[in-house]
Amino acid sequence: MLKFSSYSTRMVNTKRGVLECLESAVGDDLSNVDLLIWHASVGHDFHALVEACKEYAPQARVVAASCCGVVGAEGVSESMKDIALMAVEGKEFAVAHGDGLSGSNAFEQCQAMARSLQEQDPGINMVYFLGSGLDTANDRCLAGFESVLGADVTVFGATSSDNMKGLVNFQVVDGQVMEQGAYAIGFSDPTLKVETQATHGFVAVGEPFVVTKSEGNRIQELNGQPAWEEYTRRLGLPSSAECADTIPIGALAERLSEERAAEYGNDHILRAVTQRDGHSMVYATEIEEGTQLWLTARDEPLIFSEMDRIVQEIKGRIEGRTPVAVFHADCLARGRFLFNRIIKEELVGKMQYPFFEDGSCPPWLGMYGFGEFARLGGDNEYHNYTTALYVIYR
Amino acid sequence: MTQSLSYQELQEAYLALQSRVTRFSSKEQELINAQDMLDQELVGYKRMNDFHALAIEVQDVPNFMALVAETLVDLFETEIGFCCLRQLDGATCLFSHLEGGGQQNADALMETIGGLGRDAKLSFEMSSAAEDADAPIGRYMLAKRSREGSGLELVVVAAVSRHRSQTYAEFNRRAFTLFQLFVDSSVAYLESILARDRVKEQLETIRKSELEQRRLSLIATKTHSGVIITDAKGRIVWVNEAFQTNTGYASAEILGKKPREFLQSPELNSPETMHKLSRALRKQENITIDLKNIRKDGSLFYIRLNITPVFDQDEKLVSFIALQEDITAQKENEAKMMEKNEELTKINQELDQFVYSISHDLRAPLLSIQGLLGLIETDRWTEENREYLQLIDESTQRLDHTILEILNYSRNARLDITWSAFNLRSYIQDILTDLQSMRLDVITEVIWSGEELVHLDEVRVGVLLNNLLSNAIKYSKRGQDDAKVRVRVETTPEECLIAIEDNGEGIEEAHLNSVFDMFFRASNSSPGTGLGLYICKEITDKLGGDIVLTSEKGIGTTVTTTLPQIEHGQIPSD
Repeated sequence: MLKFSSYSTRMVNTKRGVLECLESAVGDDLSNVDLLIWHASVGHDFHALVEACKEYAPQARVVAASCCGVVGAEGVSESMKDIALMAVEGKEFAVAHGDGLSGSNAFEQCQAMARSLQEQDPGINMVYFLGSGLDTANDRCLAGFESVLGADVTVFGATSSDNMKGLVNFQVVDGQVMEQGAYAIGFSDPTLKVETQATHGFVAVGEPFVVTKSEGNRIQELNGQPAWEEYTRRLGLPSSAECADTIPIGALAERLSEERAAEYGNDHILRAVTQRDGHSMVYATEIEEGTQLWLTARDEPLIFSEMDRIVQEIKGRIEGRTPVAVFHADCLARGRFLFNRIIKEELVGKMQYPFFEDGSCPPWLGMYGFGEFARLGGDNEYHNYTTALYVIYR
Repeated sequence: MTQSLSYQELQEAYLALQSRVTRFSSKEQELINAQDMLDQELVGYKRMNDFHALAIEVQDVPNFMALVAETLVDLFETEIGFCCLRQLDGATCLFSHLEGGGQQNADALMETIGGLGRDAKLSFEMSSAAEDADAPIGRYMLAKRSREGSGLELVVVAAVSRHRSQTYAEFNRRAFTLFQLFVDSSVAYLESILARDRVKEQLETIRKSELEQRRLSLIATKTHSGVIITDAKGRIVWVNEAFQTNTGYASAEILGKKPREFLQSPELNSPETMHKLSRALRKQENITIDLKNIRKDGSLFYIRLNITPVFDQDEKLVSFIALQEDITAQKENEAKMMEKNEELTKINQELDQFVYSISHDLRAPLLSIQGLLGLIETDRWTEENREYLQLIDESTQRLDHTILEILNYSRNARLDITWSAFNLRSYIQDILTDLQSMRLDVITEVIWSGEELVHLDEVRVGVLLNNLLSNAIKYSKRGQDDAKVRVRVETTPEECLIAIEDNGEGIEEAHLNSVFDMFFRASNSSPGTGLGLYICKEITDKLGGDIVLTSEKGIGTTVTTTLPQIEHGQIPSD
C-alpha cells in the first residue's frame, strides 16, 4: 500500500530546500522513501536537486518538473525559488519518461511511456503525467496513453512551465535533467482510486475566431488572417507582443457538447496559446480547420462558485472517504497574474479546507503550470486555465 | 432622434464593441500587473524584514556573506547573488559567497562578478545589458560600499546570466531602490558583526586575563605571605588575608591608604632604609628590603618586603604589588645569635687573658727554678742528687716549652696582625742557627727564589718557622750521617711559599688528616706537646695563608706553607 507525505517551501538554496522538504515530509529516516515527486520553480538548479536527492535518499526514484509556483498543504507560493515534494513509500508504481516531446511526436512519446509503464507493472490503474508545456499536442499525449492502457485508466497531471515566459521548462527523471521532456508515473496500488475534475470560470465573449488554416497543433490563420496578428489585434496588443503577454488574457474557448457542458459547468473548454511561431501560434492540442474559438473574459463569482461545486462533487464521489493524497494542477494564469494574493489564497483555501481532517490538510502537491489533465464526460481530457484536482483515496 | 445605420456600419460597430470588450481585458490585465508589481514590492520589503530578522542572529562574517547572497536571489528574484568583503588596498577578497548560477562554473562566475566589482566606478550601478555580447553576465545591480578608515569594502552583486536573461524579470527603478536599501542595511549589519567580533576578542582577552587574575588571586589569597596591591600612587586597592592576619588591620580599614601611613613610624627604620625604599618607588624599580613595622595592636614585627611595579601595555605604571614576608622570628634568632656571639667573644677573650696570665704567672716561678738550678754548680752535685737535679731541669724545660707554646697560641689568638718588612732569608738562617744545638748531625740547606725582603707578621712567622724547622730537625733521619733538612723558599710580590722537607721517619697515612689537630702527636720518638702544628695552622689561618703537610712513611715529610704578602705601601705606620 502506497503511503504519501508532502511539504513545500520557498528556499533559495536548492540543496537546503530539498533537505527541508524531505525532513519535514518524511522525517529523519529517509530510508523507506521509494519515490520523490518534486515541483520546483524554474529558478531552482535541477542538477543540484538531483544531486541532493542522491545524497539524502539514494534508494528513491526521483521525478521533478519546473513550474511557475507551488501549492502545498503549507499554502501558495509563486516565486523563482519555490519547491514542493510528494514523497511516496511503497513499491506499487512504475516510472517512464520521454525526451524531446513536441506536437509532432506527442502520441508516440506517450504511447512509448505507457508501454514502459505496462511492462514494468501490468496493474497500472492511474497515471500521473507531467510533460513539457511548450510545443505539445496534449490531446495526442492522452491518446498515446489510452492506446496502451485503455481509456478507463485515468491520466491526470499537468504540463510543466517556466515563470510564464514560455521559454523553457525542465523535467527530471532520476539522474537525467531534460528541457522538453515528460515523465509518467503509473500507480498500481489496487486499494487506491482517483477522482479528477477541472474548472475554469471564464465566459466566452464576442464573435469567435474561425480557424481557417492549421496543421497539427499549429494555427496558421484565423479568420483568413495570419493567426498571431489577428489574435493579438483582438486582444488589443501589438503584434510584437510576446506569448507571455497574451497568456493572462488570451484564453481561447472551444464549444463543448451539451452533455459535457453540463458536467463542466461551462459551455466551453479553454485552450492556451503556448508559443508564437512566426505568424502562427502553437495551440495546446491539435486543432481542425473550421473550429470556432472564442476569446474569453474571467468571471470572478463564477470562478469561486465553480470551485465550490467541483470540490463538493469530488467529495460526493469519494463518499466521505479520506484522501490519502491530493495532486493539483493550476493554470499559471490563475495565479498572481489573475488574482491578487488574498483572492488567490482564498481560492486555494476553498479547494483545500473541504478535504481537511482533524484540522490537517492531506498530503498535497500542486503546481502552477501551463495546462491540466482531468477527466471530463468519462474521458481523459486536457484543459487550460483551470484548477484541476486529483484526489487519491482508498 | 433616430439614426438609420447600414448593415456594414452595424457590423463595424459590433466588431468595435468586441474589440473594446477584449481590450478592456487587456487594460484590466495591465491593472492586475501593476497591482502585482506593487504586491511584489510589498513582498520584497517583507522578505527584507525576514533578512533583518536573520541578520540580527548571524554571529560571523562568512555566514553573513551567505545570508546576503541568498537574500539577493530571494529578494530580487535573480539568478545569482554575490557578496564579497575585501581589503581596499590589495582588493583581496577576505570573505565571499556566491549563490546560484550553477555549481559547474562557479569559479568562472566568481571571477567575472569579482571583476565587475573591481571595475565599478560608482557606489551603486545597475546594468540592463552587458556591452560585450559574449559576456557571461546579462544584467546586474552592483554596490560597492566602504566605510572610511576601515580599509574594507563590501561588494554586493545581484545578477542574471546572459543565457537565462529572458527567463528572469528586468530590473526596474523600484528594485534598484530596494537594492540600495538592502545594501545599506547589509553594510550596517556587517559593521555591527565586525564590531561584535572586536568586542568578542576584547572580552576573550578580558576573560583570559580574569582567569589569570583569579589564579593569581587564589595564590595571593592562600599564600602565608602578605600581599598588597596598590594603585600607581601607592594607595592600597587590595590586600590578602595573610596581610590582614599579620598586621591586624581589616581590609576595609586600609583600602585607599598608603602602607607607610599605618605600618611605619619614623623611629622604626633608619633614614637610609626609608630613603632607599622611597627612591625605588619613585624610580618605579623592583626592591627587596627588610623593614620593621608596627601592628594595629602596637607590637613590632619585621618584614622582608619585595615590591614590583606593574606597567600596562603602554609602559605606564598602573600599580605596585608588594609581597611581605614576616621575618620577625628570623630577626629575633639573629639578635639572639649576635648576643651569644658577643658573649662567646667576651668569654674567649677572658679565657685567652686567663690563659695568658696563668701561663705568664706559671712561667715566672719556673724560670726561677731553672735559674736556681743553674746556680748550683754541677761539680757540687753529689751522686745521690745528680739524677734528680737533671730530671728537675728536663721537666722544667718541658714545662717551659709547653707554657711557651700555650702563650704563642694565646698571642696568636689575642693579638692583631702586625705587618712589617723583614729579610726572611736571614730570619730563617738565624732560626736554623738557634736550632742547630738540637741536633748537630743534621745538615740544613736553604734554596731561595725571589726577593728576600718580605712583608709579613714577623712574630707569627717566627713562631711558625720555629715550630716547623724544629720538627724537621727533631724528626730527621737518625743513626746515619745523612740527616737532612731542606728549606725551599719562593717569594713573589703577592705571596711567600716556604717548603720545609726532612728525610725522617715520616708519618703514617692514617694520621695525616689529624696532624693539625690540637694535642695530636703522630710519633712518640721525641718529646712534644702536640700543640706545634696546631699553632702553625692557626697562624697560617690568621694570616690568610695555607698549610699543607705531605709525608711518606720511611721517606720523610714536607710541610708547605703559603702566606700572602701585603704591598709595602699598605703596611700600617702605627
